[in-house]
Amino acid sequence: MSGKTIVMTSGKGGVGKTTATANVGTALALRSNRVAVIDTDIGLRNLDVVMGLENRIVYDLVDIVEGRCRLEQALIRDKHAGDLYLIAAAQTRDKDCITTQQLVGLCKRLEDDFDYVIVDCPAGIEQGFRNAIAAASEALVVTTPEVSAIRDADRVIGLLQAADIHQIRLIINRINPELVRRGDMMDASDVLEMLAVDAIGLVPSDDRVITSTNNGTPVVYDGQSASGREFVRIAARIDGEHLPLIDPLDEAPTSIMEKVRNIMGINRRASAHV
Amino acid sequence: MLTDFTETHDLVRVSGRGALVNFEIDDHAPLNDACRALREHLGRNRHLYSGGEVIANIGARLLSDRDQDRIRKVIESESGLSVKQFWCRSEILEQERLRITRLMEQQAAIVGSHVPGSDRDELPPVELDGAEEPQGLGSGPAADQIEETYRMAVEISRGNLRAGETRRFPGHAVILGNVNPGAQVIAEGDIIVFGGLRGQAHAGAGGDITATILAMSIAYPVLRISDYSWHRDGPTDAFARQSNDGNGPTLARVSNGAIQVAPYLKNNSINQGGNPNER
Repeated sequence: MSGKTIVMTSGKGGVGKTTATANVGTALALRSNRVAVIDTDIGLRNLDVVMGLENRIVYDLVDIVEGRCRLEQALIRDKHAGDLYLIAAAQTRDKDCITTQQLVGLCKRLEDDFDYVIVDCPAGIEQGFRNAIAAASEALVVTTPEVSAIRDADRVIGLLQAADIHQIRLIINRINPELVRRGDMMDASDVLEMLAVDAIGLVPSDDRVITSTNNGTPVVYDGQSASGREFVRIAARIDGEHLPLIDPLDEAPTSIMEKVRNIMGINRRASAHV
Repeated sequence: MLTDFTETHDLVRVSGRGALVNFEIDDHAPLNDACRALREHLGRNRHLYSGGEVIANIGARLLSDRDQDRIRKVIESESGLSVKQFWCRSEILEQERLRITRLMEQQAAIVGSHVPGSDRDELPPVELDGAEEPQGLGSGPAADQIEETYRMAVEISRGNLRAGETRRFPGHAVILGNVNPGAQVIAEGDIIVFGGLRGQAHAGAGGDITATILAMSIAYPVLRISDYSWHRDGPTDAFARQSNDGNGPTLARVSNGAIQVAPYLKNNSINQGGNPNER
C-alpha cells in the first residue's frame, strides 16, 4: 500500500483544523480507507479529545521519534470507525522536540500501511508548521469567512507553494448563511476570489459541532448535521468523487416551516445528501 | 533669489549668480538617482530659494519630455522655483540628428531594395563610415546609458501577491492578479494592478513623485508615492471590497503636495478630455 500524506493547516488558530481533521479522517475511514491522523500540535494537543480518545493515550508522537515505543504501540484505534488510528501529540513537550526529518520518516512509514495520513498542523508558521507540511504532498487549508483568518490562510498558501506543495484545496468553515444574506459576512465566492485556490468544502456554521466535540464523537455520525454532511462530501472528494460544491446558502432553511421541519428532523432536502 | 554660490551634491551641482540658478545633473547617473539627489538637496536648502527661474543643465543626456517633466516637477515642488529651460551639450544634439538621419537612410535603402519574395540577407549593406558612426541611442556604451535613463524596464508579475509577500521592481510594475492584504509591491516607477489592490503599494520608491498607481479596484490599501503616503480608515481587507467606493479602475498620483486617489474613468477620464495621468 502506498498512501498519501495530507496536511490540514490554516495559519490562524481556532478556525476548525482539529475538528476538520477528526471529521474528514473519520469520513474517509467510513469509506473503507485505512486512515491515520497525527496531532502535531505538541504541547497543545486536542485531536484526541475531539475524537473521544483522550483516555486511551499511552504513547505519543514524541515517544515514537525518541524510540521509547514502537510505531504500532502509539497508534490508537478509533472507538467507532474500524480503520481509523490516531497518533497523539505529547502534552508536556514543545514543538522543537521533533525534527522535520523525523516527522517525514514517520509519515513515509505510515504511508506504507495506510491509504491516508492526515497531519493536523498547529497554528502559526513556525517550526511546528514547517514540520507538519514537510511530509505532505497535498494540503487542505481551513479558513473561516473572516478577514483575519483569510489573511493568515493567504500567507499559509504562499508558504505551501514555496514548499512545493501545489495540490492545495480550501475548506471554508463556519459559513453563516444568515449573515451572508444580510451582507455581514463574506460569501464563499469572495473568499475563493481572494485566495485563488480550489475549494473542497463549504462547511456551514453548526451548533451540533460543539455538542459532538464535547461528546468526543465526530459530527459526521450525526445525519442531521449540515456540517457533518459536508465533511462526508469533503471525504468523498478527497477520495476522488466528483461532487459539486454545495453553497450553505442554498441548503439553509429560509422559511419558518422549513426551520420547523429541520428541528423535527424531517428535512427532506438535508437528508438527501447523507 | 540667492547670491553667488556653488554647491556640489554628488550627482547634482547647483550654482547661482544673481537671479539665475543653474542645476547641473551628472551625465552618467541613472535618472532615478539624480532625481533623488536633487530632491534631497532641495529639501535641505529650501530656505535658500524664494522663487524665480532656473536653468537645468542635463549635460550629455537626451531626455524625453516625460523625464524632463520629472526633473521639472522635482525642482518646482521642492523649491518653489520654476524651470525656465533645459540645456544639453550641442554635440549630443548633433549626434542624435546624425543618428536619425542615418536610420532614415538605412530604412529607405531597405524599403527601396526590397522585392517581394527576395531574401532580406541579400540586401546590400548600408555603408557607415566608422568615424561617423552614430553615438546616439542603440549603439555604444554611452548610448546604452542614455537608453537606460530614457525608459525604465517594465516587469510583469503573474498571479496574486499573497499576504507576507514583498515584490520589488527596479522599473515599472505590472501585476496580473490581486495584491492581497498583507502583501507589498514596491517599484521605482509606476505600478499597474490588473486586479484588486488591497495591500501596500509604493510607486516611485526612488523618489519619483510623478509615478502613479493604477488598479482595477482599490480596497483600503496603504499607498505610497515617493515620500508621500495615503491610507483610508474603514472596513479592512477583503470585506471592504463589498462596500467601498474604490471599485472600478482607480488612479493615485501626487498632486498639490498630497496623494490624490480618484476613479480613472470618471470626471477626469480620457473620455472627458482630461486623462489625469497626463501632466
